[in-house]
Amino acid sequence: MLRLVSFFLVTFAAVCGLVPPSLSAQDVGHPELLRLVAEPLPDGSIAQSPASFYSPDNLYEYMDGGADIFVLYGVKSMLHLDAKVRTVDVTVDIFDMGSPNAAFGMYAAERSPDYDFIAMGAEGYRNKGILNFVQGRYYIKLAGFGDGADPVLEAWAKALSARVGSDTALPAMLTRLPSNHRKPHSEQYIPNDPLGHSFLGPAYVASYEFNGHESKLFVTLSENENDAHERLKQLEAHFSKTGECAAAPDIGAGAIRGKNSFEGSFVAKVQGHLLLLVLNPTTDGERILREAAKSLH
Amino acid sequence: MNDSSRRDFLKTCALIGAAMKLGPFAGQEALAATTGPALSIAHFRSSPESPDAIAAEARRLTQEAVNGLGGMGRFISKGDVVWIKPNIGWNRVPEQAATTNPDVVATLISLSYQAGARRVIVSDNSCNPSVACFARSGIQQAAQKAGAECFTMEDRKFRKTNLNGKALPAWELYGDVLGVNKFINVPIVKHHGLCKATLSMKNLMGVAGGQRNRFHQDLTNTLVDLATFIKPTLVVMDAIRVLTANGPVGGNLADVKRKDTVAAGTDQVAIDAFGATLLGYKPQEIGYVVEGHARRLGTIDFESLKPRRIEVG
Repeated sequence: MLRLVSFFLVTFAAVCGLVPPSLSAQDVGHPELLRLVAEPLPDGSIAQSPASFYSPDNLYEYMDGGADIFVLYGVKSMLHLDAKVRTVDVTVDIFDMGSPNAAFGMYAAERSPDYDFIAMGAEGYRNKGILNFVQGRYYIKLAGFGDGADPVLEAWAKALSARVGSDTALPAMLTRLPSNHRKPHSEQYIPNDPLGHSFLGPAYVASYEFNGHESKLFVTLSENENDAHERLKQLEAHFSKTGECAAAPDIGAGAIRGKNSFEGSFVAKVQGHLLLLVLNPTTDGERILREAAKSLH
Repeated sequence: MNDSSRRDFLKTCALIGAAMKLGPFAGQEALAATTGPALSIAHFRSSPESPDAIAAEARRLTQEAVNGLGGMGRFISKGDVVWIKPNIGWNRVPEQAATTNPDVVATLISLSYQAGARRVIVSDNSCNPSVACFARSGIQQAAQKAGAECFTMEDRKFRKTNLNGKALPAWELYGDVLGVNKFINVPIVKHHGLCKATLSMKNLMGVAGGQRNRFHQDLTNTLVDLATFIKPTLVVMDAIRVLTANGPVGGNLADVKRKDTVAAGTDQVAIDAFGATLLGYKPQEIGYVVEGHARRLGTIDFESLKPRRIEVG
């Protein structure tokens, strides 16, 4: 009923000339996305055509093989808008990932620690002709073509960030990961099958660098403490079968360590509803596990 | 024969006819085996920065790579209608390395005309809105300047074609492609999030229509099915700028690395095997390269072809 009323309201407004050309009656199914690109558009931009929308079912029509990873991360819908300001063509792609975790995960899957990061939304980066950032449930990708594109993209990013809202924090779990020797901008969120194991997902991941040696911390979100212990058992079984695995009481009660020839070595333990695992640990890696257990307590 | 079976019969005849028309550029294995090298790799010794210098590099590398196979006259004859199939899939500028270098395309057009081609057509079934892709990639302008016909594909011209493939019994292919007698596949080497690498066989998806996401359910087999059916006359692979991450869309210049290379060949599997190495993969890591080798479409051991290596600049 509400959708029907909205439809008639938007149709009526369009007929009366109250709705700008970028908005049309067919877009009533995406009110939140449309709100982000409501008129006036940033920096005097003019929409070149109505915004178009994609769902997980047809995102491939817009981005072919690039769509699969977005679907894997649970994309709900996507808005695409082409706009022009002066001599600059702007392409606006806003992915509604459904949750801040999924949005961060998708954003992080596409970024590299050596990018040029900027203070935009929860985190963002830019390069000539592009500016991408994550904020809340949205992953926003802007591309600009033509002389003077970069300032235009910055104006768009600021405007979109303001419209998304005031919450510009990264997922809270990231702030609780040990910060010593953590590689900046290395954090990820993997919803399914980290390292190819379903029992490790979903998980936050961060890289740590110590004396030129890189370790990775995985923080698996389990349903509850029993579930976390069950996952630890599955990890133990996997390494016992493919290599070796043993108790590691020196690290903490219930902790295990092991290795195999293709995944390397690890230490792991349960902390509340979390399964903590450090892959390729050095002595410092074991410190990471202890610190993680402490800060995530 | 009732109406329904008559329709089916006529439909089958049309599909067989379409497949037969593909014959002239389907017979290139014999040509490859008898008249010259199967793989040529041209590499520029430096990485020039200015747009004009990169354009000159692209023209030179393309010319040298084709010459390394014996020249365009080996592939194109007087009166040929040539379809050049670059990657124009994305709304990206050449620097972003998601689409084929326009100067590589323009050079192939010129070489085709010099070899006697009657018509040269350049097109692709873009993923992003095609008008923007054709303009932004620089390919439309370069192609038209070089004298080719360059236009976006029309939905109505795709027609179901019998491929007899392992995963694709039939698929919608662009009808006009089936009507030419020479086909030059011109991919750009780049990362692909799903199959690790976009190379020549992956680039052939640009002559397919319909729900192409279904290809992705079994890329290994669907791509080899397509490549087995189309069998380009010639493959010219652009690896001047290479998108090494976040492909196939890309966008961030930080993901683009210079390889300053153009390879040309008649063996799709071999040229893809070589392309994989430019991205840091072993050919055995790319599913459709392995499958192509297994089905004897070509060889994964590209070094066994004794590629002609040409240093330029």
